[in-house]
Amino acid sequence: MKAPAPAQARILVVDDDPGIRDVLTDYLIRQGFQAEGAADAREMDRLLARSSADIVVLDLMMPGEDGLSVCRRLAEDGPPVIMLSAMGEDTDRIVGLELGAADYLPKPCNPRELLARIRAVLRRGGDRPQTGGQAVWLGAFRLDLVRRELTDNQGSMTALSSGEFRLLQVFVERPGRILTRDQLLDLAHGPTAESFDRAVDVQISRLRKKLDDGTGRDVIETVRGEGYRLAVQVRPA
Amino acid sequence: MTSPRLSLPIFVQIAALVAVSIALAMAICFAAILHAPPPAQPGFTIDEAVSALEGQTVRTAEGRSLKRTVSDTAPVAAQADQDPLARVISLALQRRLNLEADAVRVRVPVVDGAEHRRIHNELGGRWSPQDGGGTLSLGQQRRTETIIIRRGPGGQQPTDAAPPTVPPPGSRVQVLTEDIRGTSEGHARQQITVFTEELRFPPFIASVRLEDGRWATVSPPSGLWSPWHTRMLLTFLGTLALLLPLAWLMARRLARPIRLFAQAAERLGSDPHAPPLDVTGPAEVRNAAHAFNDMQTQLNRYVEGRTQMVAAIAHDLRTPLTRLRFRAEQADPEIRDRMAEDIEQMNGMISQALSYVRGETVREDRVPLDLSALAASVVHDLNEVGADASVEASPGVRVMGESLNLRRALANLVENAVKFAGSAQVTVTTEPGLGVVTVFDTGPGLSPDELETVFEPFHRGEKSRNRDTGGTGLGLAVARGAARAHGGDVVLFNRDGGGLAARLTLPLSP
Repeated sequence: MKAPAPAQARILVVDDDPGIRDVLTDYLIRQGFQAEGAADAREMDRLLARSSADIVVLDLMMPGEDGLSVCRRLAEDGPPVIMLSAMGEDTDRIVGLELGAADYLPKPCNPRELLARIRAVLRRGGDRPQTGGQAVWLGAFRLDLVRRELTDNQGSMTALSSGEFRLLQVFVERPGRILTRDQLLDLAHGPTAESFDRAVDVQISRLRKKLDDGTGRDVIETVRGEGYRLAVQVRPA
Repeated sequence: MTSPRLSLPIFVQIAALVAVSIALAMAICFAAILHAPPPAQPGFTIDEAVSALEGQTVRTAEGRSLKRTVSDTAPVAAQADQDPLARVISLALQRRLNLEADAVRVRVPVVDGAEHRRIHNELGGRWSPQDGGGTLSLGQQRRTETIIIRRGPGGQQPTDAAPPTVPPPGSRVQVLTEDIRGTSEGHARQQITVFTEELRFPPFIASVRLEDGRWATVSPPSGLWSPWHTRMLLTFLGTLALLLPLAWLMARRLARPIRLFAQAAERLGSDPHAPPLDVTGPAEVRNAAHAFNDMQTQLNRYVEGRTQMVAAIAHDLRTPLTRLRFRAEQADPEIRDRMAEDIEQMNGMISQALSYVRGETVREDRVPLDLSALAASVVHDLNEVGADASVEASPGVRVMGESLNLRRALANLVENAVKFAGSAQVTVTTEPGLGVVTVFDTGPGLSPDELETVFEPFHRGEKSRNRDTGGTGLGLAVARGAARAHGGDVVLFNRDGGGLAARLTLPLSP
């Protein structure tokens, strides 16, 4: 399925606070989307029944059916969900993503960040992470893409910095592909990143150390003159 | 706490312990007195005195040795008007040692009525107390006549007595007799017959003249402490030794429920979610445990109420902040960016408040994790936003922990160092049983009294510092709370040569 062009995309903002609904829909409309607000889950269902949405921006805490329940419901056969929560804690983010949200943003969010996430989700189309498919095996290591945790087969955890995680995620999403430094920088840190090439090298060497399974084989290969490539198979966990 | 005996009130238990101890001690002493021989009188016989005078070691009936001394002059003065008892002893000694009367001198230091009664009892006679002395009638068994003992001058003169009897045939006794005549009245006569070998005299001092003219003197054992006293003391010590383990054991059993209670209470102090105390044991402890459990419930309810309130306020604050943030998008870029900064700062405070109140309530699963990698990832995260921080970690420091809570704790420490001192150096090391993360900075450090107070929630340090940084004063409280929940701690100290160090310790996973 081809993702709709942003300008045509229809976004449903579900939040019990009328002010938030207004400023969000206003902002999204100014950015060229079709946006509509719903005060609670019932109104959202009614609007979705009338015409489908491409993305639902969902508040976590609402009277009536709460955001997590709505998220779980929509994860099955609804549009992708971007969770928006005032309880912007790691645990909430994890719960939200585990329930099948396509992305998660804490309130108050940077409007341009929300825009970027919406565009990213639209680019991915309906291809959102599946519930239960949020972790992968990389050789002897298990990478939890939601919790951003790397554990070995003994269950011992190795923490990743967020840069390392994003880089590894880029590799995991493109298994076997050779990626240049520029691509890695772009994909992992965004086009506006002010990082240096060198940062990628450092992160890759750290990742190699953290993913050392004792076989002496680098999990991330250097392809001379071209870039880097993930050298292990990615299996769903 | 499970023994049914120990669930009696402590009051009853102590009373019973004291009663049993006293009864037992008394019973042992009573048995000792009942079974031990009665204390022997300190006196000795003529034979024993003679042996001592001859230089042998002689123990009296009560177990001590007679003392023998040799001197140039007799310690006992010759007495004209001698105590009759002394005279008897003197006679006996003369007879035994075959000496002249002037070669023997005897003094009986103290002779009281009881002692005379004893002598009389041993001889089967009768003591009649009289002024200044008494009459010892020894006639009942017809073994001897009467000894009239006079003490001091002016007493009644010895009176006439029956003729001496002959000791019963076959008895191994020696009979001493003396005729006393020639007092002023001319008719007074006393015959003294004493079975000296049977008779133990009260302690006396006797001197006999030796061939070389010196005097050998025998005197009774001196001192107040007799072997009988030693025996009694040993009995008491024995009783004590017997009772002491018993008392110790009972005291331990008594104290056990209280000790367990104290431990449980302490556990409760460090972990408000510890299971309620066991309501068993003595009545007093049960009451205290009940009160404690009630208190815990109320405290937790109070903390939860407060936590929910703070969480609700923080949550509700974020809604208008979000609106503000979106409305700011319509302002011109300069104002928008400034507003965004302010909003970000407010949001940071809300986050800290939330993480503080949640840190006390949210529980994650504990997993084995690599403390070195955790510290490194925290530092690298900060590096990505341009912070000057470095890490030096010995590999493979493993602890059991809640990864998000520990990450937040470490991040707070490192961020603090970067915020207040501009840079941070992090080391991960091990000490016996402990994983140690130390965050060093090169900033101004803290005054000694602030090293502890900065851990208090919402503590404000120097105004100048906080105006720059806008912290809420919760970072350290959060870090310490997380470390302590893991059985570790966070302490601050000033480094030698400037700068502050924060030391986070966690128990290593086994």
